[in-house]
Amino acid sequence: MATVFHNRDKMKTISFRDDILPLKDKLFRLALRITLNTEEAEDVVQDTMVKVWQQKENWQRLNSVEAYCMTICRHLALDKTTQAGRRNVPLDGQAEKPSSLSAPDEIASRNERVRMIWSLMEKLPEIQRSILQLRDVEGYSYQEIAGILQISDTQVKVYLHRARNFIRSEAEKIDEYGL
Amino acid sequence: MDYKYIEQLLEKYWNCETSVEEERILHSFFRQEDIPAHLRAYQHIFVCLGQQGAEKLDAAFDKRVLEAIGKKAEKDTVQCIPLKPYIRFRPFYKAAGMIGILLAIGMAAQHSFQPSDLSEGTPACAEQYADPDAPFTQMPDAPEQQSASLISPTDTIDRLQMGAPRPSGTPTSQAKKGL
Repeated sequence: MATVFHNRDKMKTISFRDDILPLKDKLFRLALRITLNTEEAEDVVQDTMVKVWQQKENWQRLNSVEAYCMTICRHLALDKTTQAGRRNVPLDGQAEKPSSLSAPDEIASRNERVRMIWSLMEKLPEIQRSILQLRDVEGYSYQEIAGILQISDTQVKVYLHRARNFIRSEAEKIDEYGL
Repeated sequence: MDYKYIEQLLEKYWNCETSVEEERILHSFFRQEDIPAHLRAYQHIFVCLGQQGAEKLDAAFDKRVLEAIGKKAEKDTVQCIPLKPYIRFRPFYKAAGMIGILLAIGMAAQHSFQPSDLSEGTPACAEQYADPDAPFTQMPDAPEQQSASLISPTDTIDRLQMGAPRPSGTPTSQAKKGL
């Protein structure tokens, strides 16, 4: 789970290799939730790493390098999505289309209902997807998510509530009617 | 088996009232194979979230990133020194100092532009004595000098009747001279 927002009172040496590079998987997952494309997400993570490296003289002013990396990653992923001219919410044919996010053997191993839930999550608006990812997958606190997304704690809860309840109602429908 | 606790946690989860720890309990619970039928719909959600958390970048990514930043990251680290309160508030001290300087300049400018007919360095009410003991030696005579310059009312009437001029040095004559 997440360990961000280091204590300012302790002297800390930030190493790119030890402190920033290991964040790559978290950054990748967040970028993937936003871009919905593996290659683009990977490019976003690489750009994030390079950008964070170029800003190394600012690291000592940061409360949390991890939160800083996540914020940059999200902004770059949103830029990438905008540049590609895509809508961030794919609307058509998602329920039938297998997720493009994982290897074919992983897709094959998933059962159909899990795959449907996966597609439902991709239908959520970007902000809800990102919050669901940061909370339910990465385990960040509401304050940390608010810091990363630069919104209030209350907004985080509102978006998360909407996302969870949308998924819940759809999951109940799938279970009941096998949709 | 009683699933009341899990049901309560789930209800809190939908309302975004669970802590990160409680959400971990839910994730652990739904990772089991044996889930009661009425909770199975939600199992797919937690399985899906678990799968999303397993997405990772390959090891070759590190190499690409290090190449992108010129392999400097192996050596370069940034040491974060905790900011002491006086360093953290240094900008405020600077601002206060600047305000003080501006106020001083403003007051000096205002003072220099004001018209003044007093000689510089001499207070308006000051008397100058060459001899430092003079004020003390002259002080006993001061009441006598003052009383000598006064005219009794009977004197004034006599003078008026006789048409004699007023003696010089009286308060009235001094006022007329503009002293």
